[in-house]
Amino acid sequence: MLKRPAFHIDLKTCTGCKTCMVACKDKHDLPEGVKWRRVTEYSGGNWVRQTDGTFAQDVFGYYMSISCNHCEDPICVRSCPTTAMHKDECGIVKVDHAKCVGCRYCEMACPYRAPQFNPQIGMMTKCDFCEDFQLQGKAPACVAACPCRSLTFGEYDELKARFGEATTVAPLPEPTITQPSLVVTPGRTAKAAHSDRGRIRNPEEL
Amino acid sequence: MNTAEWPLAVFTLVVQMAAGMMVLSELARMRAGAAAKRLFAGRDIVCFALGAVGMLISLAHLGNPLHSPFTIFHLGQSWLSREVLCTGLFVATLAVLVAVRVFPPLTRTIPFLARLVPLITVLSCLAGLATVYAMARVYMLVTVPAWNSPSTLLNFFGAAFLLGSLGIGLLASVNWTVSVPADEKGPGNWVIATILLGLALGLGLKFAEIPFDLLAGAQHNARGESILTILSDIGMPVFALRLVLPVLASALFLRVLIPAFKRDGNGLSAPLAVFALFFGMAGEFLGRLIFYSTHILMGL
Repeated sequence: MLKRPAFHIDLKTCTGCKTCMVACKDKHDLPEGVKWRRVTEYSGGNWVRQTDGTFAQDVFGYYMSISCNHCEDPICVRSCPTTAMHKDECGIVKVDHAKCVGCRYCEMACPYRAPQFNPQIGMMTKCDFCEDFQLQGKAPACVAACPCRSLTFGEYDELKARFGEATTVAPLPEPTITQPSLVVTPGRTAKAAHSDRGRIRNPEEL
Repeated sequence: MNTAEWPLAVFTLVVQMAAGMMVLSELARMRAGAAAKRLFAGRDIVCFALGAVGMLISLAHLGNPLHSPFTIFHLGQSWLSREVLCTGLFVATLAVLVAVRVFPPLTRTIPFLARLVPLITVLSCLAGLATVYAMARVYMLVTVPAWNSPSTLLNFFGAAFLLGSLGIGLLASVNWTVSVPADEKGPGNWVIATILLGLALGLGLKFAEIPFDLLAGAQHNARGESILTILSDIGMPVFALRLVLPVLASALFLRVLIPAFKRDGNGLSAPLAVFALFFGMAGEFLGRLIFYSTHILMGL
């Protein structure tokens, strides 16, 4: 097992097909409305006046596939009143269903919307990094399903060394808040985390 | 409007009201003595009922209420744990006060209990204030900028003093009507002045909150959600009603208190105080639902 499991997403190659989202729902048999992995469509742009008086457009758009980032300083764990939300010895943020009261405070606090309430059991659920698959030496379902190989997983430090650290890409929040175990390869048009240039266009899907 | 959070809206408001009632009545009693005691008869039972009902209603918010005893397991980091503990202490101290009032033989069986009553009353007031503070801190999340500002503290303490003064005013007016001898002239300036001070403080804190809300109003998240867009979805008439109702409640309440202050023999009007509390509670309930609607999470 990994010590600090992390996901890497390559925004240059992600086509927003949402196969990762479907694979996750299928693998974990998640009910309607519960999505441990979600794909954000982020776009923006406008007409920009050039120095010669003409106008050019700077329209941009890209996709961001996000599940739980198993953060180093998870706000869901800090907030949870019962200690049901915890980080295990393998670095995976998990919910202990023997304690969870279903207050949804973790959902209220997480800027990645990772903890998801399952009304069928009245408790919180979330990405468990497909721990069972990992024990069998297999990749998480979302990673295995990605047709463009935009999603990878591994040890955080190794991914960082391989792809470089860039988690300050919009629409992600400032990484200092929770220190996510996430490495992002930005695309050509990617905007900084605090950018006001774009909007999430598919909130109803998230 | 986020009506799904009605259990939280009711829970926070009734517990804040109970805390405000305890603090204001104790302040009045410290200066007014026996006269205040008679006017505030039944206070402990009313506050205990509010706290207990609030706690029971808060369970409706939980997906798995059977696990609620675990909610005090994370006092070191979670403000929600601290809120649950403070609320529990507040209601527990009120329960002891009610037990002493309802079963006077208890103080004969356990003599030192009678001596402890003033201390338990002070502890109850402090626990009430701590509960209101912890409640506000629960929502001051770094990931929700609209809530992570002094406006949440002003909102919650404002509600405690506004509803507390209306609540204790109603109780005093009912006791005045029912049990105070007809030849007695007025309920005492200190009592009235303390209730008026509570009302002014509550309303003042509510209005002091507005500039902070306006500052946060223009900030939006990556989804384009902001306080302004949410208020426009809810509708300006609803928001206007939320502002008008507490002012209406305060105006009605002044109509109850000012004649008593002048000691013109009219005393306190219980029916008017009922309307004042009704309008005050309706305005705060609407305001609390609007507050929960402004959960504008940064990030995704």
